[in-house]
Amino acid sequence: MEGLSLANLMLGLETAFSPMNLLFCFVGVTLGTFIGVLPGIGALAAVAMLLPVSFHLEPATALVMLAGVYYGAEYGGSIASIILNIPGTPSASVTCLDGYPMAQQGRAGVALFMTAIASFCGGIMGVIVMVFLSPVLATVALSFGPAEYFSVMVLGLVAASIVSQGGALKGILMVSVGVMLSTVGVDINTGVERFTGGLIELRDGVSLVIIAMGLFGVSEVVSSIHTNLGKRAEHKIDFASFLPTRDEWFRSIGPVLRSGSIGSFFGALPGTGQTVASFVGYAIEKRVSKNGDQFGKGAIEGIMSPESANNAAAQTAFIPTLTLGIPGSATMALMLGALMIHGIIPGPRLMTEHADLFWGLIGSFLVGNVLLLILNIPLIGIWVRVLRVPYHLMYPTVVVLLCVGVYSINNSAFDIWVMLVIGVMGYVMRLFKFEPAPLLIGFVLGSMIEEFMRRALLLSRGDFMVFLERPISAGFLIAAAAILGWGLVSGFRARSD
Amino acid sequence: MIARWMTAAGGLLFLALGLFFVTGALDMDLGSARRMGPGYFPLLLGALVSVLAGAVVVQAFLRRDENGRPDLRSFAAVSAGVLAFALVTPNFGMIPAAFLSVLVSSFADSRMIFAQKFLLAVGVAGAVWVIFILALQLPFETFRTP
Repeated sequence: MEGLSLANLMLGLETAFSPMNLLFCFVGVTLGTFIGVLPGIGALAAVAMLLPVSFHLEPATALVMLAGVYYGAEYGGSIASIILNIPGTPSASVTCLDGYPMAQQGRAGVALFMTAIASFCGGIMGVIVMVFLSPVLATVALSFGPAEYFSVMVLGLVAASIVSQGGALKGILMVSVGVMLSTVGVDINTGVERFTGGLIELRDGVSLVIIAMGLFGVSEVVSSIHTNLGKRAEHKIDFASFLPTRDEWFRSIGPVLRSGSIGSFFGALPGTGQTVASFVGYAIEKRVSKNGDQFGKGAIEGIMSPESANNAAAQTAFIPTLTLGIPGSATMALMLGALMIHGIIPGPRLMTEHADLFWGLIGSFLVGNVLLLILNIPLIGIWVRVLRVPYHLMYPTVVVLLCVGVYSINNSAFDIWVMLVIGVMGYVMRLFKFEPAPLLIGFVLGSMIEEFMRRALLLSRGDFMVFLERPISAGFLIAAAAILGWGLVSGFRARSD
Repeated sequence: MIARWMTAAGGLLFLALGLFFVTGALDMDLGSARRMGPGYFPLLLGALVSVLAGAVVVQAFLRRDENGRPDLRSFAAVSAGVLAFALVTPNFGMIPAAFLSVLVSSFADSRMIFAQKFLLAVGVAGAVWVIFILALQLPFETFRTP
């Protein structure tokens, strides 16, 4: 287990505490919280807009800032859930279930305080898992061939599709459509144009950011305008009533530990992420808790569980991204891109070849989580004030931010047209109850899956058994088949009930 | 029966998309499993999508799914706002585009009178200028004469 040593941890903290990294960590987490608080715009749009800025920074500093935006948004997301019953980020939607009832009972202060604590504990748990798991995974991954990479991505995609809300079948369809769309553009091996219709702009394929902003930005704004209008922060937050009762402290420990572990697991699996983690964490907690019947009516467990799960997942999402080079989400794919522009190739060798970057990032996670605790407890008033801005002022602003964000990638108006087309598609999909999230992750992993499949089959001389003959690869595929079978069967059961 | 077809329409759209990729892929060199040609992987995925979409169509008839209700006003206003940005930016620059985009998309609701919407548009355009051009120094064309 090379890599995990006191010297490396010290190196990490030293890197994290350099003045530049501290400054950009602060900038990142503050911006992340702000973006998280605003409904309709998420970490992805912010990271996309900051990418051009990050090229001028040192690679470690750039990643520290972008990562700060990413996990900072998870803290901010719960604030809108509690105060307005609108999730600020998709992964905070579960927090609405118990957070908003708490606010209605005049306990918004307690809910905000406790979600900050839950987020902090979840985040730290995620960092600990990352410290211990990454070196192990990096060592194992050194023996990975293309077959293993292919199979682990299949496992991630199957897991992502099963937990989608429209049912397993629609989820798998969405994942497959995403993978299929990733073939648009020039085939890197033969130089043949595929499905471009002769358009030069499509030669490099459709940019991930544009797909994401269309599917989540534009269609989200359209479908949220009339549900969110008129919702305003009306509850006066009584700052004297921050502290929960002793009983609530006690009842929070179990959910935080359980959901933090669940979140760490789903974050580390490429394909699933914070949203899946928070849904599963909440569902399990509802079953095991003695207060299960209180869930949905303002139970403290109901906010502690999703918030610790999604923050743990936000940290462990960096594990596959950095040690395998497989991004678990669209935002992670952007960070991978940010690293590659600096000439750093993520993968099992990153931890040894760029030890300062890897451990510096982990050090900055610790710093960032402490900063976020300060931003979210003593300074909570600022964020609540942001939400006093009525939604009819907010949504036109979000529309422009999406346009500027997409335009900033290539200074191309064509990209905005593509975003519009995808946004319209996304809205129609929503009306037919198809979820956009599995499509996006399919698109993210699509071209890598094709490449690794091609390489694996080349090595095996066209024999498909290669995926089952290699034990690690077979293990991933068996797990994927088991999840798939379980998802389809439970889907049938739910129907006959 | 019409209602059933309406819920199945989503699946039919993806069926069409899958078949489009299948026919497109068949025009390309497929190669073999050992040396996958450019068409090999899209053909595989196109077929998979078509089969799954077919299953979703069947499922829509077996199950009583309901579609969401479209919000045409928000849809039109936001789309027109994005469209305005796409049309104005290459001709007049980013600041007029931001202004017009806010103004157009704000017509999704009627909570403000026109003058208020106008002021919001001026404010957001100003903020875009300060944040993206003055502070972040992104290489945008602020104003432009066609």
